[in-house]
Amino acid sequence: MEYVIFFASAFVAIICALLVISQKNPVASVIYLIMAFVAQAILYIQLSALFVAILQIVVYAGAIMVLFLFVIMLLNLRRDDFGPEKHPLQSWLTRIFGIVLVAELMIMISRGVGQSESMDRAGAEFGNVEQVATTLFTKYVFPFELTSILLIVAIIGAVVLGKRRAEEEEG
Amino acid sequence: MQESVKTILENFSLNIDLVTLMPEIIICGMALLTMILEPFLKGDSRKVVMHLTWLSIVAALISIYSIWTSQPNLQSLQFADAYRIDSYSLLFKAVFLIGSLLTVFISSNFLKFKNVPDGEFYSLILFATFGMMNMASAGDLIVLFIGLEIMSLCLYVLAGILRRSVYANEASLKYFLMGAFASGFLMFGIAFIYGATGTTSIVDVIQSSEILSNTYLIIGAAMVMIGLGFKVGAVPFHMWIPDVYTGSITNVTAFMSAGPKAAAFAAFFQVFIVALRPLQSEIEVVLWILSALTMTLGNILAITQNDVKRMLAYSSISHAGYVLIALVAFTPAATTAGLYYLLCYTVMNIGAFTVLIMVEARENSDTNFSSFAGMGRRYPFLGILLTIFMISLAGFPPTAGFMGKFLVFKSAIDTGSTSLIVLVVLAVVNSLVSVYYYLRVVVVMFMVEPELEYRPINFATGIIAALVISMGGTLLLGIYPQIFAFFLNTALI
Amino acid sequence: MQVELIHFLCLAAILFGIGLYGVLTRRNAIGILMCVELMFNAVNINFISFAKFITPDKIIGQVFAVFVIVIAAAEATVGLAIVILIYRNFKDVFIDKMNIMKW
Repeated sequence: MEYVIFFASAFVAIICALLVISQKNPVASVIYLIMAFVAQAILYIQLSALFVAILQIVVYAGAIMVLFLFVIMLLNLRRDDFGPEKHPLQSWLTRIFGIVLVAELMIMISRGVGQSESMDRAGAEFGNVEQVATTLFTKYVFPFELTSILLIVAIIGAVVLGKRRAEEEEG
Repeated sequence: MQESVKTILENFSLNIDLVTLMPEIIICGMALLTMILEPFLKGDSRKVVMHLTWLSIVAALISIYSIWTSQPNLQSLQFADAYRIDSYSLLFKAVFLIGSLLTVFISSNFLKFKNVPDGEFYSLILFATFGMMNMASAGDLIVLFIGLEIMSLCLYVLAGILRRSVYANEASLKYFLMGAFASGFLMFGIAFIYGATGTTSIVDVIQSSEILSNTYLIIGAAMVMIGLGFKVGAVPFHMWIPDVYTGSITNVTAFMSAGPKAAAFAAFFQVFIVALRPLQSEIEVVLWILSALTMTLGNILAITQNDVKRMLAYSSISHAGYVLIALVAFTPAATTAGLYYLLCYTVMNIGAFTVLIMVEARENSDTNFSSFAGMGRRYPFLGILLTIFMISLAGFPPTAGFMGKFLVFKSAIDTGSTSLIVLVVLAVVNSLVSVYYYLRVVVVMFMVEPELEYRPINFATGIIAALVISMGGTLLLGIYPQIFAFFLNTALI
Repeated sequence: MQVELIHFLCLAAILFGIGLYGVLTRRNAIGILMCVELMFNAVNINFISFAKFITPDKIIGQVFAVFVIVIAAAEATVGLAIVILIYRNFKDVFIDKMNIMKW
């Protein structure tokens, strides 16, 4: 059963990811990306990362992707504006580069695993919200506070770049 | 479970020492304060933001100095080991702050000339500086990474802050796409380092007894190297540098080439010299190749440029190559020399950019070599200053550039390894080649007549202050290298 | 049959590769941004599977994944702001049309 769930979600994730990079229609691309994220959320639950799975759906598939959709609608991108590069040589070179990189990574990864690790070593409460919160607010409290600065910077940045200022537009 | 959380919290201590955190508090607090103040200020009173900014940077520098003198062998781990303050990171922070200070001085007039809204500009500079400080004293890879992101987000915005210019837009987009791409690699690498050692704490990575697999550590190191290679602009990953540096407004270019580059090197030192020490022999070979490629290609491409700004962009690539020598050498002395070099580079490079800004801040002027024609005759003093900066960038005595290079090369030769000596020879040849394009500016400035009537240069107070500081630094670091003794006992680990 | 660490790592490597390929071939800035999000997600799979298999007593990997989501959100915000800015001036979001300066 575990095996079936893993392969089903992994299959969906990979197919959707491939569709994301090959779709001509930007809106469809975003929808496939959301599907890939949901498939990954199922994997997270399988890895007993419940909290991250919820965040993945609420924040990632929800908020961030809606932002993408919003911008696509705002800019009113046409269908044919969105395809991948047509230049054949470069496209093939990139494809070969990508395949070589992934193959190399997989070979390295399979060499790296020594003893076969099993999932059962983790306790029952591994990954529940309480445990994540305890770690987040003790050991990682400083990076947690830093992310607030990061978000402020992102907001300021978006405002600085996005707003119009009358006196500047004349120049 | 309720009980256990309570016990965890009771036994937990953050171990904060506010005195040693003062520089960060000042910078971050002032960055937030300028954001709050900015909407309330109109007209001339907007200058308050600029003055507050440079005053806060000076205050942070003073607090670093007082921490440095009062606690000479500082080694403190704070926030549950997430933040590490030692003398090495303090000096790195001083380098960033000096870069930011000079940037603030050269910006105020230039922003008005280019008609850029200035309130957010200063707070973005301060936030970027704060991010860099976190990178330099990160005790955990996540802090290093978030610091890097804070810095990078500020820089993407700063690169495009001249919103109506298509060049700035392009620079911003290219920088962002390359930077996000590099972040992906960096994060992937950190994931593998975590997988190999079971920890993300920089100090714990080397001490990790249960290294699960060396292969994962190597994958992680390779990915992190690609990610940080993008950030320092080492050669296979340098393609964004010329465009971003040329497209951005010139004072931002000066900023980007100083502090953020030093911060990226701080991250490089943290990860490869502290955390990944077990992989030294594997890393050394790759870094050797990176270093050789970076300085050579940067130099060769710089020769062919007709724009001084773009030439300085390529030259900054080759300077990154020289600093990488310190990483290849892998000794405490080399890390100190690398830091000294970064300080020298910050001072002399911003100095050169200051003169460039003065030339650019005239009507109908640009940054081509021809804009410099006749400047040496009209303003001999300014001409001499630029000549000294260029000589320093090329690495001649008695300037900072020479001393920095000398110390890095010496630390490399002291290791006695043949491959390093070959690298140093290559670096010396490269420095000699670089004389051609640096002195080309000087030749144009003194020997070539301007095509039209010479347009006068505007001397603003801030610019003069920046010139004085950078010139003083360039000469002091070059002539009086005993300052180096001040650095000596602060090697990284 | 057991699902092991290597399965998750391979999945992450494939997704990372797809994202990488997308970043290199897409002509459209928003498309590239989506591919970067794919790369970040591959990283998250890595972190979470390492947390489960390598450090079953500590939960660092999952906390790291939370940070990655925050960082991805911040990057997306600034990235989309840049895209909107570009669109205003160029009326286009193709990066190959945006090459006034040679690479």
